[in-house]
Amino acid sequence: MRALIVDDSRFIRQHLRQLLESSGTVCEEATNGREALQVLRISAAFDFMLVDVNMPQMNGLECVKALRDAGLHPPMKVMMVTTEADNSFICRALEYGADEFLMKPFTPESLSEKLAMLGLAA
Amino acid sequence: MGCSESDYDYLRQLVLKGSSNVIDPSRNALFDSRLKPVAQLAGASNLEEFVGLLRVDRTAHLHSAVAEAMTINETSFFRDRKLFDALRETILPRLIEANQATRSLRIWSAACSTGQEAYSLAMKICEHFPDLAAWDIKIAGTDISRQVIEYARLGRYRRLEVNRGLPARKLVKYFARDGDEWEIAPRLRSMCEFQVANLCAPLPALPVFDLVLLRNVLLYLPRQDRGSVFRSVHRQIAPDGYLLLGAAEQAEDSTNLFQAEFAQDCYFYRPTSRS
Repeated sequence: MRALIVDDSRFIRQHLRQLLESSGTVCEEATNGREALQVLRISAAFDFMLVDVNMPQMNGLECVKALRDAGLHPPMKVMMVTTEADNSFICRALEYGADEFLMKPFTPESLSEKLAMLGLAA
Repeated sequence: MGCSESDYDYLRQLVLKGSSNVIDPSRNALFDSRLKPVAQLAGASNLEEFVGLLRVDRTAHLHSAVAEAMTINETSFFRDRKLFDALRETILPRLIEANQATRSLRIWSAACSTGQEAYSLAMKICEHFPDLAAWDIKIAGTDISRQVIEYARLGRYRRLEVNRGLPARKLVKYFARDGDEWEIAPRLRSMCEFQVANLCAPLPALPVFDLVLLRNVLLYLPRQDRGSVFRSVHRQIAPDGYLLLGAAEQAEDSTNLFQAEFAQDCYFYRPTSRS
């Protein structure tokens, strides 16, 4: 399984990478939405992308909308991982093409449960 | 906190007597973490002092507070997705077919903890069986702990709880955000009723149920109490009802009151005929 982790926080990227690698997922990282799109354009297919919302240059919502509009890696599942929690915001993320939503702070169990919902159980 | 081995044994016996919950000596640290707030409320400054108090003060409320605090309350929404798939695809359609005449369903979430299982059932029914909106459906949640029952009745969950097992689309559809909490929709809450009940003691008045979920309870009970719980459930379940246990639990070794069936990667149990 291959995952792209998109977050401007080095701590969060490392934390997610550790959790995912412990179940055998190969991870790549990007620090904002724009960088994520660049990685997606040149990399082999990813099974899923975990993406923060509030990031410099291009936020997570814009990134998801852009990648879905461009048809990049269409089968790739996208999960927002963010402190944003308003129902209206979650609805917008789903509308833009996100498949699932995980609120920060999260536990390893909640991450693996959400991945399992997307059929991504390791 | 910490206390002597004999104090831990005393606590172990107290919990066993109060809730039939077996706490293995390897898990003594659980006493330290779970009983700290109870000990503080009782005015004790450490666990040793609290045990001293328990040995002298034999009032039931303090002893039952210990049993309640040691109850395992691990739960999440839609825990064990395979089982909820089996409910949607096999068990609920069969029950709906069988209950067309009465247009009613009675479901029991035994040991419901903070209510996620009961509300997950309510969501499953609303989501996949909209025709049942006019049916008389009640989901009864029971638990030994008064504290978790009060929590379940509120139907309000924190961020870490709605993060566990609840798909985002269901969160926005069935919950309203209110500050740092999410509140279950009134329609779902009205389907669920919660009350305190000790499965190892005489049960309060309960209806006959079409479906009973008794998950991850038996694991913690001694064999003789498992038998007694199965007898209680057998008395409460309709002759053509369904019993669901946790994925790691099975009925056969403790009772002949139920027989296993297997569908969609799940075992479920049907009552054998009453003697």
